[in-house]
Amino acid sequence: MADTSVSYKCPNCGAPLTFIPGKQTITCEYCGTEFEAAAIDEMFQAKRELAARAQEAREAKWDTENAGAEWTDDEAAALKAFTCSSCGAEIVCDENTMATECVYCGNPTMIPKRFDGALKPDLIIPFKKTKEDAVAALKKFYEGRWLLPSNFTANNRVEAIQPMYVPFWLFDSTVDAQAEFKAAIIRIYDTANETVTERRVYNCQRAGKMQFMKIPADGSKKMNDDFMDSIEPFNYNELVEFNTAYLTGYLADKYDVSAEECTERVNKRMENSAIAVLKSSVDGYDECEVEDYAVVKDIGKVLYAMVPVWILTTRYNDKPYTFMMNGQTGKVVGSLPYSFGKSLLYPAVLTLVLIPIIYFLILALS
Amino acid sequence: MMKKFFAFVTLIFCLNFTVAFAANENYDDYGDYVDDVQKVPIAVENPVSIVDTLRLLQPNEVSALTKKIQQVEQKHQVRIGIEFLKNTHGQNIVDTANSLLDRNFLGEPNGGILLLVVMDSRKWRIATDAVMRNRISDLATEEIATSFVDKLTNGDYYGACNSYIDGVDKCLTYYETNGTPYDPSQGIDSSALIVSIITAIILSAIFRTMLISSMSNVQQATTAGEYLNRDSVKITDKNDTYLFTNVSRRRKSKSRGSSGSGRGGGGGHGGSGGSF
Repeated sequence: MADTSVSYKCPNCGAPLTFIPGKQTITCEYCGTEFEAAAIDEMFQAKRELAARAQEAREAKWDTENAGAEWTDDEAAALKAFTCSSCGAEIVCDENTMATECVYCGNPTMIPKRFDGALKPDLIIPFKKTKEDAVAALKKFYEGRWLLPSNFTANNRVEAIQPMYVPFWLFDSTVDAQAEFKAAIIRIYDTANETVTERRVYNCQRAGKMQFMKIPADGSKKMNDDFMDSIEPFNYNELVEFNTAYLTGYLADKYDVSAEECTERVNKRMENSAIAVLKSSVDGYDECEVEDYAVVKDIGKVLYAMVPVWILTTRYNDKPYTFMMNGQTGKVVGSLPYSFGKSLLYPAVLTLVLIPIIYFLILALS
Repeated sequence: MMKKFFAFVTLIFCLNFTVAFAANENYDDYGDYVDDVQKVPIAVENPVSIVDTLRLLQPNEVSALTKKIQQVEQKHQVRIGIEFLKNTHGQNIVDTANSLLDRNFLGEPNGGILLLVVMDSRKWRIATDAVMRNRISDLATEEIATSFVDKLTNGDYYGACNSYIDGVDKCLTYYETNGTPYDPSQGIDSSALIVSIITAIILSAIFRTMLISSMSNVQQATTAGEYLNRDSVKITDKNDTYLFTNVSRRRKSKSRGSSGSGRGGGGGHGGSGGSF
């Protein structure tokens, strides 16, 4: 029976293959042989088909009765076991895992069944940043944070660092936007006894068409939406057609949030930006506020893409802190702990400095 | 015999009338006061320092204040006066105060100062002569007033007089120590200080919020401006319609000043005044 997973091994020396960020080729770290990603993909196509068939066969036998007493039906349904083709160990992962590595031998492993049909991504942004880049970027992220506890960096060590391809939906759409604004021209002048403020109010109607390209929305429940929003933007010039070879050596999930479920977030972003564009065309006024608007979207194209993210976890005072880095641009996002003492000290010093300055300013102006 | 008797009775009557008049003169309505104060001799051994026609002060309070005034007067070689009047009979309080000062509270080498309180109009006025004005500036008299106006408002006339005397003493001591009149603008302006403290605290609180928020760069994306194809933007309709005009008027604030201030007034008088 064929393996239910495929290990990408160097055809030359048999060592595990890993995709090197920034390159369009796959290089064997052991013998140095380079392979075209497409060539490797083709090479292992047959193996994947075999593995997929083996998986189908195995899944047909999957039954909660054989899952053991500890697991509930739901848990059993969510967990999948695959055989590592390198060491024969059983790899357990959830139903969304597309690629992982064997916890016993570290062999990069993919679960081909997960790439089938509609689940196959259209595009992928390959990793450009390495593990070293991620660690260095995290250290740089700490710099200039005045409230960072003094012992945070001293006692801090990265507990876990994982590269992951995160499923994203990319939305293309053309919108027709209409909006009404209340704008005002303000004139202030002095008479002998009074200061007069004259406010001339106008109704400004604007309409326009515009096109949005590839608005991203992550399709993974595991990934915090705000974190994923924060690692934007991505350089779409480096988007390439999806190829499973790019996943070797990285964790990867398939989507578990549908594109339909993401549309509300995306629509709101588009609406806000469309109104901002129309508002920017209301010029020559001192004040402008939105009164009413309507944004109509054409049925747009949605692409399924995998984007690279480094996930770094540190621990401070027994509390884990997770940071994420855009695996393409190197942008790090996360929330750092802050020292309560420092958060009082700096403002207190500022208060003491400001009091005499403001005091003498008041005296000078009075 | 009858002539002698009538002459004796007339003499007794005149004496009684004189004594009664003398006894009442300080307590009469101010209607007779201006004439009365003219009768007060200027150069006497213990000149009058406090004129309280309305009996706002208790006799023991008058004694205590008089004693205190005399001590300050001797210390600084000045004349210090306090007068409470019912009204000024339509006369300007500045002129009344200056007139009373010139009439009753001069004669010492370092000048004189008078606090006049008019109860009907609830106004006060500090008047200084030219010599005193070199020692206690008009601004300084305003500063002295801040120490007693609230007490006048609350009916604490004894406390107000005490604060006035203390203020005069402080200003004169300052002049004698430093050679220049006390300038309140050189001291701490308490209202400016309070405003400074509150403003500084507000700014620091904003600064603290900014510092704390700088510890995280995780935030939800609310716009998609980065994914907008700028070349695709076409404004297809642009229509502005005038609706209405709103006009609001704000009266300009008057510059700070004391009501009826005699600053730079005739005869070199100075001082300040206001209501309570």
